Amino acid sequence: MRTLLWKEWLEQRRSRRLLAAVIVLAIAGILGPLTAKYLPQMLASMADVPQGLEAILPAGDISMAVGEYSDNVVQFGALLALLLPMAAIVGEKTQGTAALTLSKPVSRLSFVAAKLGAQGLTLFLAVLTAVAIGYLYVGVLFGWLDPLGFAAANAVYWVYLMVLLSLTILASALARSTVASAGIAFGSLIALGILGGLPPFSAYLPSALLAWGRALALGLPSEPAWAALAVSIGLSLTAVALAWQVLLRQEL
Amino acid sequence: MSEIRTEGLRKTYGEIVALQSLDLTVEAGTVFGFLGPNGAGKTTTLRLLAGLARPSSGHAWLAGEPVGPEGRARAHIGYLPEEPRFYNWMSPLEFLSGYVGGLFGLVREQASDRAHQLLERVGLADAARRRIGGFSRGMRQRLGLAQALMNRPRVLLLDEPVSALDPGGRRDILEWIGELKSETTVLMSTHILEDVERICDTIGILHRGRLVAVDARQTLLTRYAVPAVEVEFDAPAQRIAAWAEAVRAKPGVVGTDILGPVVTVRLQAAGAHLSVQAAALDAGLPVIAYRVARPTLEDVFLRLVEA
Repeated sequence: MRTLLWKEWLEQRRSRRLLAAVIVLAIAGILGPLTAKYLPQMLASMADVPQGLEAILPAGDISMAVGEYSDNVVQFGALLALLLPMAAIVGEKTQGTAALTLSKPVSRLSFVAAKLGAQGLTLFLAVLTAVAIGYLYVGVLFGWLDPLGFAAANAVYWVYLMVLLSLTILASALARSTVASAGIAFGSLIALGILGGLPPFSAYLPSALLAWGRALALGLPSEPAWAALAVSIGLSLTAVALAWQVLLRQEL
Repeated sequence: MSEIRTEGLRKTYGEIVALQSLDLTVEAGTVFGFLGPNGAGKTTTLRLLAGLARPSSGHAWLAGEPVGPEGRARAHIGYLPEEPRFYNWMSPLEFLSGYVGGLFGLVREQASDRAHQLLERVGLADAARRRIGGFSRGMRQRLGLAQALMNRPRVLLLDEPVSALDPGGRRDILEWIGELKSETTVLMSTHILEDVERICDTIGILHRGRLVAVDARQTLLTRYAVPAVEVEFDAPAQRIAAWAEAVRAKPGVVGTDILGPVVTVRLQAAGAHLSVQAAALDAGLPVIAYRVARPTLEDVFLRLVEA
C-alpha cells in the first residue's frame, strides 16, 4: 500500500496535477471576496449598464463574501474532483500499466485506496490553499472571521468533494474509456444534486453539508448536519468498496 | 518437483474457446517453450497464470501456490507481458528500485542494488535515469525483463520476450534466459521456432487452445519428425525431377521435395530409406551425397499444427 501511495503521490506532483489543483482553488479563494467587494463598483463603471442598477444592488458584506467564496470553492472543487481521477483506473487498464502492477503481490483494494488517498490529499492541499487565501482576503476586505469556524467549514466542503472524488474513482473502475468515466461521474453528481433537493432526502445527502459549512464559516447558529456527514463518509467508503469489487471481477 | 501445474484450465470468451482444458506440469529448473501460431492461446494461458484473467474452469498452481487475481502465487513469479507498459514519467531506476521493489516488499538498499544489477544485465545502465517515455520498444522489453526478475522469482512467465529486439539483443537475452534455469523455472511463449530450439529443453505446442504435444525437445523431434533422406545429384534438373517422380511411387515414400540438386524424400518409416538408397544408385545419375535428413522443430510444428 505504501509503495502504491508513493507512486500515486509522485504522479500527482510530476504530472503537475497538484500544482494545477492548488492554483485553481487559490483563484477560487480570491475570487469570492473580491467579487463581493468590487462587483457593484465594477458594474457602475461599465458604460452600458442601466442607470440606477448600482443603487439597487446590495453592497457587499462579509456574508456575501463567504457565500461567494463557498460557492466558488465547491464548484471549482467539484470540477477538480471530476477531472483529476476520471482516468485513474480506466487509464491504467487501457494503457496496460494496471496489468504490470496487479501481477505483483498487491491487492486490488490497495490499488484503489492509494488512488483515493493521493487524489484526496491533492484536493486537501488545494482546499487548504483556498482557506488561507480566502481567509486573508475576507479579513482584509470585510473583517476577520473566526478561524476555527472557517477551517471547519472548509473541512466540511472537503468531505463533500471527497464524495465526488470517490464516485469518479468508481466510475473510472466501471468505464471502458476516460470519456465514459467522466460521463458516469457527472451523471452521479447531477443525480446527487437532484436527490439533495428533494425534501425527504435533503437532510441526509452530501449537499446538506454545504449549508452547514456556510453557517460554520460565518459563526451562525445552525443544526449540524451529522446525518449528511455520516452518509457522505459512508458513500465514499461504499464507492471505494464497489470500485474494488468491480476491479476484482475484471480481467486485465 | 513441479513449479507450474494446471488441471483442466479452460478459458472461453462467449462462444470462443481460447483455451481448452489445459493439463500441464513443468518441473523446476526447466526452460519450457510454449509454441503455437498466433491466436493459439499462449497469451491467454500466461495471463491466467499471472492472475490477470479468471479461468472459466480448472485450476493452476505456481510454486505450489494457487493462481488467481489476489493469489499468493504472485509473490513467487515474474511476469513479462508481450508489450510491457510503464509509467512514462518514471525513470527505469525509480520504476525498478522504488516501485517494483516496493511492491515485492524489498528493503530500499536491497531493491536499489538489485535494480542496478538488472539494469546492467539488460543493457540499460546508461539509461537508468532517463524518462521511460522516450524508450524504444526494444528498451521497454529489456526493462520488462528486468522488472520480471526483481524478486528473484521461482517461476518466470515470459510472453514473446525477445520479439522487439534486434538480432544481437535477441541472442544476448535468449542466452541469459537459458542461463536463468539454474535459479528459476521459465515458461516462455513464442511463435519463433529458432528461439525455442536455441534455449528450451521442454516444449509444448498449443494449437487452437489445445495442447497438441508436450515433451522434451529431442523426444518431440524423435516422435513427431517425419523421417527423410536427402539425395544430392550432379545432373540436369529435368533428370533429377524425373527421378524424384519415380521415387515418389515407391512403397514407403510419402513425398519428395526438390531444392536445386537436392531431393528430400519423406518416408513413412525410417526403414524405407534402403529402397530409396537403391533407387539412387540405380538411377544412372552421379550421386554427390546421400544423407539422413536431420529432423527440425519446424517439421514437428508444421506436422502437428497442420494435421
